[in-house]
Amino acid sequence: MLIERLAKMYVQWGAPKQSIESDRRRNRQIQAVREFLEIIQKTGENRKELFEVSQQSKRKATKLSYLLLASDTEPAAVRDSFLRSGLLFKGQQNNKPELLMWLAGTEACARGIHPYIVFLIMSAYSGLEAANSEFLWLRERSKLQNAKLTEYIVPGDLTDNIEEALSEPLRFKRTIRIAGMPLAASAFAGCSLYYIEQILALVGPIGSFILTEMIAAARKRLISDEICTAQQAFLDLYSRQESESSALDKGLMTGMEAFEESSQPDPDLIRTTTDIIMSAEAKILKATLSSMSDNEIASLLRCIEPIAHERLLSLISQGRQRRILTAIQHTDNVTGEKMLRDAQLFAQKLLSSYAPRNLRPGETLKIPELLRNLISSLLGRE
Amino acid sequence: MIYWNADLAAKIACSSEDMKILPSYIDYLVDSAKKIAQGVMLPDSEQLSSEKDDFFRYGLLLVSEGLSGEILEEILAVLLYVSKVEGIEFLKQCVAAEAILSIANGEDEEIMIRKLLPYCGIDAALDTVAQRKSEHAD
Repeated sequence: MLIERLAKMYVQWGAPKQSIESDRRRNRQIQAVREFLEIIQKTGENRKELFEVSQQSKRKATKLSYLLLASDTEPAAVRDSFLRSGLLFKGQQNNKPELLMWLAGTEACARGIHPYIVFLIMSAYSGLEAANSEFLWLRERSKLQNAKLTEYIVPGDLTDNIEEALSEPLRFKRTIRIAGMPLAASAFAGCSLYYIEQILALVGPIGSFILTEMIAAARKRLISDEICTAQQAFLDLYSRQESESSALDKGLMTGMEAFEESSQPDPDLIRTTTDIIMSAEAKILKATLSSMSDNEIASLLRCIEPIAHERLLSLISQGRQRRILTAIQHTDNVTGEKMLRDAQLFAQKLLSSYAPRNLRPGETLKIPELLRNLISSLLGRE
Repeated sequence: MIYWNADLAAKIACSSEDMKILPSYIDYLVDSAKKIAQGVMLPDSEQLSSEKDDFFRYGLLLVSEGLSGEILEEILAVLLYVSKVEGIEFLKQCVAAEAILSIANGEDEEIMIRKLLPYCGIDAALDTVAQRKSEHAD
């Protein structure tokens, strides 16, 4: 969640320290980031060369960044190193954005993120205006890069359906974003150059260059079976987009409205099921949900109040949330009996999640009394 | 769990009078998202040059390069962290950032609205939801 991430930054690093900003200073900072990008791209895996660069760096933060990357530091240890160096302070002390920028850039490089994306993260620390001008600079640079791929085809789900999939470029583009570049690149690694060119035209020059490099890396790193699996996963995401958009095109009711208007709910059943969800432990609830299908969860959502929707949905991934909402849209009106059966099925699954695998005969389940009574009341309904 | 911080609270604070422009700003963002989803407006630089909201425009530029998820969220959070604007202008940037993430993740209108409306405050959000429902019913 964005606001959570932002709040965390404030808590960890305090408000950004305001310093007198001269054009010279800003230009120097931007120049240093451009240089960082070039060196990271040029040295690649060559640690010795990075070490030499670190020795030539005059500024402490830059020196430390190169040194940490040259010594192959784990991403988690980068932050500790910056704190121990005395460059950054934890807690509510105000830190300089420039130093946080070097930390973020080094961490991102250590995580194996593409240098162009690292550059975009780092330039954001200079503010919106500078980030925008650096974006334009990077875009021009991308156009000049000469990354070429050779022909390499791995037969699979995507190669069989790519022509049809590309006939809907908007959906294809959306799938690339939802899949994320690493998965998309692994899937495209098995496609012919003819189609890769069409795919690359769907994103801007920066994205196109990053994808090209990632495809080349995936071809070196992955075996055919892995590329096939990535193709399957990508196509699965693509198909899911189809079912969602067609449901919307048909003008079906979305989300909560769908079940608000299609059922005649029993208020007591809804209250009891809601209370069960609100009283159950998050860990157990999560285990129960993972044992249920998307359709079963969609049915359960019809039997509970909005407050319980929030709790349930917060325990499942965004992708699954979307699938469940789609399942709700595809479900016809339900009767009161069906709702009762769905709620009871959930209660039974919840009970089995509470039961340890080594439960001995005669031993009782460790369920809070209130919850136990609610479950009994629900299961006893006819 | 959402951590809270006095500096952030001060930066985001704005009067209820200022907040009144937020629902129409959200309508504008949702409308833009709809146009992008339908292909009427492509998030590339040529078509975006007329977009007056600098923050929203920059976010859409990143989306047009295929950025999404964690990475996009990180960049937007950094831009908000170093942003020098305060009050309603900062709040608008926060809402725009959420909208950009929704667009990148291919979320539909309903989900996007549910994410953006809470920035108006609970009362205004509930009023808007109720209003939308009655419009649907009509």
